[in-house]
Amino acid sequence: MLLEPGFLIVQTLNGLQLSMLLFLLSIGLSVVFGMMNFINLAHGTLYMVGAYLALSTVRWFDSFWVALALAPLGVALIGALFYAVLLRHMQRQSPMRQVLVTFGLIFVGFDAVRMVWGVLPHTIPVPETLAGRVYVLGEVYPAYRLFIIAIGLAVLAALYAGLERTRLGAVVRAGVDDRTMVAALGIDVERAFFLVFCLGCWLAGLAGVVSAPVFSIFPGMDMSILILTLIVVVVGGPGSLKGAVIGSLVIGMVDTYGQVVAPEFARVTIYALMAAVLLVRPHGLFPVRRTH
Amino acid sequence: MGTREQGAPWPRQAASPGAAAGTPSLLALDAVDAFYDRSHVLQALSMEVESGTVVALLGRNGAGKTTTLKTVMGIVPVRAGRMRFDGADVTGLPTHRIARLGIAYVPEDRGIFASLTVHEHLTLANVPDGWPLGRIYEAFPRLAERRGHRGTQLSGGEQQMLSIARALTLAPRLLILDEPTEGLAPVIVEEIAAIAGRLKAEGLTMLLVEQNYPFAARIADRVYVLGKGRIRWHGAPAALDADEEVKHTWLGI
Repeated sequence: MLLEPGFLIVQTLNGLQLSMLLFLLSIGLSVVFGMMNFINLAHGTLYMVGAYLALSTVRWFDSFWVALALAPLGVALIGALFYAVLLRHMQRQSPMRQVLVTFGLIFVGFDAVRMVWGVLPHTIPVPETLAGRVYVLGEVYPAYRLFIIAIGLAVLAALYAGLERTRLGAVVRAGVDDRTMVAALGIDVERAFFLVFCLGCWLAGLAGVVSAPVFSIFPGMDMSILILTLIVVVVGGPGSLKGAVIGSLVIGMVDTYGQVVAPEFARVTIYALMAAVLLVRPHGLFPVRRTH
Repeated sequence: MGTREQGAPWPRQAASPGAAAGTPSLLALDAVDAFYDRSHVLQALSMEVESGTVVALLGRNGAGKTTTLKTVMGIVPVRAGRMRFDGADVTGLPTHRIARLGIAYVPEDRGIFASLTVHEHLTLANVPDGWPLGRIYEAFPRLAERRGHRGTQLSGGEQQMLSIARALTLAPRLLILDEPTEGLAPVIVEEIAAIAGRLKAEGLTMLLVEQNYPFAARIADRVYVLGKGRIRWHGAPAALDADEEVKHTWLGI
């Protein structure tokens, strides 16, 4: 069964789909951590809020595409608000405090969505244009899941271009290398960081919206994906696009194949992989190279 | 003429010959205390850098030279005392605002970004009246050749050139150099000296820290000797050269 081409094609596409979701979630977390050594454990909560905002938008406007446009913006706005009120003051604090405060936000988010949307799971329908199935190398596969992969690849291309070709991208890369030196060049690193943080929130919201038609939406849906996302950041090495991409692909594939090949060992495989990577390369597979 | 310091900040009149002559100094530290851990402490440090001059900070390892420069840049916070730049109080300003006032910093570790190309280093600051790229590449032909290379692909000498060139894109009124010749081959040190000489001839004000005493003595108009976080002596390089006791006690030469 394992070596049947049909099985391999479908599972690889499933793995790719999970990888792309993980990429959307991990890139923001990774760059924010790389720039400011700031750990936002509530990143998964933003993903959950994205899915719920999509749910409400679909109910009001009866359109997935309106939700796709609006819900990530809403999440970015919430992120900006939290940054201004709370997180801005947390940056100079010890990592332990950051962990505690953002860990607390997970529970705040959990209770907030429970109060607004209730405890029962919800789903939103797959948009009509993507409701069909398509043939991929002779295998039948849902079109919507290919759409998730396409969104991930499009975001990857856009982020690559943004990081490598724009001045803000250069400021971000420089900030990951040495943020004091960036400030010494007259650049307000904090402002650049704020923009990156909001973009990261937007991407987490986007991941929530696109996964809403596939997974069910419920309070606590953020936890399992948060753990996978953190593992991606650790395995890939924080601060780099390359690390987030490779980390997402490795974890997405291992998790997907693990679930079907040896479901009883699936999560163990992921943790064992992370431990192995940390033993061999303590700073992840693609650590940001520092000149000093 | 040299002036010995007795630990406490000297009387302001004596400390500001420029002020007495009616030319306010570009940078003035007045009884500044600063520290970021126990071994990097400044106590009641007062010094002045007059416009158009080159001032060298000398002293042994751990005397507080780098801490002084970081304090000027706002990287190490001022705990007491005042700092003025061009007459305006800049005490407590964040680093990026100090830089925008026209203070450019070439740190000891050179501060080269691993993932940025030479070209990106030189366009990052984006200050309108900074040195244009053409002028930079004319003054630093090696950087022009390597414009597409990333920070990690440069030699130590090239990194130092890039760090100085990048500082010039900020249109600095004061250039701060922390050990610009450290760890470089003699031929590269000569190149750096030539660049520093040309900048001085153009009238750029500079504040530099140097372990390389001959280099410092050659370029500086005025020398401050630091010891254990305090100014121990200041005056002209020639006067320091003649003062064996100061050299022996505070510089170990």
